[in-house]
Amino acid sequence: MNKIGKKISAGKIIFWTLAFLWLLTTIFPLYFTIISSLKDDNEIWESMIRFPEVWRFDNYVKANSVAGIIRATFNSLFLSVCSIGLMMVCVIPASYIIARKKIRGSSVLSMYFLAALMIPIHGALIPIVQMSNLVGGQNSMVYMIIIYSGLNFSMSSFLMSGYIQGIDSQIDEAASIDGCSLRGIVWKIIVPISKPGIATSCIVAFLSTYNELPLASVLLTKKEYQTISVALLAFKGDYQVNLSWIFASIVISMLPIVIFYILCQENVEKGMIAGAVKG
Amino acid sequence: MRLLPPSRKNLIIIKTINKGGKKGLLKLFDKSPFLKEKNMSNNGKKNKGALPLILPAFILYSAVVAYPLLNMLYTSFFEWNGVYTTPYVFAGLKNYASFFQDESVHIALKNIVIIMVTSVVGIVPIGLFLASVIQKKFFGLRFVRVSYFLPVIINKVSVGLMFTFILYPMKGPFAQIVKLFGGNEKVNVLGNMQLAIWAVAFVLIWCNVGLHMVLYSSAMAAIPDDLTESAKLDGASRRQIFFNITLPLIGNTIQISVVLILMNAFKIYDLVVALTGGGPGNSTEVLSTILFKNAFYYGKFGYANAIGVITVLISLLITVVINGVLRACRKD
Repeated sequence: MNKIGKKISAGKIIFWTLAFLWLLTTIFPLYFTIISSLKDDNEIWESMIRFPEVWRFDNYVKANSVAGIIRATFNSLFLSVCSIGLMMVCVIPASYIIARKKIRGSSVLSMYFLAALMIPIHGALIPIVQMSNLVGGQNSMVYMIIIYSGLNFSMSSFLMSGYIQGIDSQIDEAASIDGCSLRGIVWKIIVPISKPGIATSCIVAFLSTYNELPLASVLLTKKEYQTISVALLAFKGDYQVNLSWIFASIVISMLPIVIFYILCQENVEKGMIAGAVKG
Repeated sequence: MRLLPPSRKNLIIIKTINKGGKKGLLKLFDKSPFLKEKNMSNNGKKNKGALPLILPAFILYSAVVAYPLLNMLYTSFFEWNGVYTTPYVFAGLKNYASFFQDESVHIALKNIVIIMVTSVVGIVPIGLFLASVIQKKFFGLRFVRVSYFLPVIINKVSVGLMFTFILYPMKGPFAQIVKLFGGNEKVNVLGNMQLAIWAVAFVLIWCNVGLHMVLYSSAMAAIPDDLTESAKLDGASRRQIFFNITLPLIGNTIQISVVLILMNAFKIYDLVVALTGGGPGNSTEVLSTILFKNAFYYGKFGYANAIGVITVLISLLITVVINGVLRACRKD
């Protein structure tokens, strides 16, 4: 009895040590960034690991006035939220139609929609930039929203149609027998059931939009339209800027997305539990 | 539609329209009584209104994704400097020929292979391990879970900046750790022709593991408890349960995640730009950075589009090959 207990605990020690090591690996860069954002440059160069002696919160004010980082964060958030909204309104009904094969050529359409899943964004970078010249999309938020909603389209439609296929079709068939229109089925039945799926695709889309760099760096050149990636990249190789300002900017750019994650993680976790119950 | 008397001939026309799949046209006929009957018997009621639901998606996708891709294919056969007034000069396959002669392309392809292989080798096992960690119930689970996932959501440019300083020679934390273990503290990882690409690959793994952890963990959570419970009752060890029950049941998820990992690695751009910018020299160049530089620094838009087309072709090839291989593996 004792022996078995020891054996298990030996395995457990390795298990938890590894888990802790990876925890350190993920936490340390964040810790390093936060403490460095509160030091002045001499302190950073003295030791990059040590805790700051004086907490210099004015670094954040300086970072914002130098790089306009709050404005950039807001721009990124605005673009992400609008483009995801537009995309989901298009994707959810379409995924339902495709998942349930409500239309002739559903499988062809599905392949058409998923084709771009395999295609890197930056492949289509130049044509999108060319198109922007045609329609006056340079430094235009509306153009960026439309482009971004298309860029995440395939991934979301992949996730959504996969999720809807997992929903028992008897549910929506019953609704259709009771006289519910297709539109009604999608918005009143499929959307509430597939909330976890929607949350997942929104998160994936949000991450890629909020963090998107190549298109934003070409299309949004004016400082007031800069997204967070563009504003941060401007620090790269700029030796005039204080290091602490760079770190402060990184922290500011991280804040909204960390808050977003903590809020939405609840949603995802609930979805997982619901899936487990159903299984 | 009043122009059409309900004659036998017109019914046939309507039927053929129906067969052609143009459901939108049928909506116009809905009000006439003889067609309603036809529809009911034809199971057409079920699909009423399907077209307007899918149309916005179709238009959006075609305009923003499909059209640029076709345009890219077209432009790749021309020489063009990006200025609107200058005409396209037909170049045939010249752009593609120079792709294969470009030395930086060879480096880029080699780098991408390195990044893809290390990504899969790193992310799948670490992701599975972390997923099984967060499946357990312990104090501080939420904190651990959030920390594991955080790198996924942090902006890649800030990650790049962060690691630029972490990997800084002499003063950086990484150099200090190397010194602690008796290594050379002057090690300049990002400035080293051989090491830089491995640093990029590691940072990419660091960024993406959390996402796949969540993927696996949700698949694990969907495994019915009675399966693992009954295995436990039968005396199976944790390891046996993991390899014989959990792993086969989430095989589908792993397949999806491998494709995702490879695509993510292939698409890598932000990290390279923020970490090394393709340097030192061109040792960490990848296809996307070459494409970007050719288009917006050198003004070779035709050539850049050719790179784009080849990028697309390679990624399609990867997906097809991976799916084929994995399907064959699962059949065995």
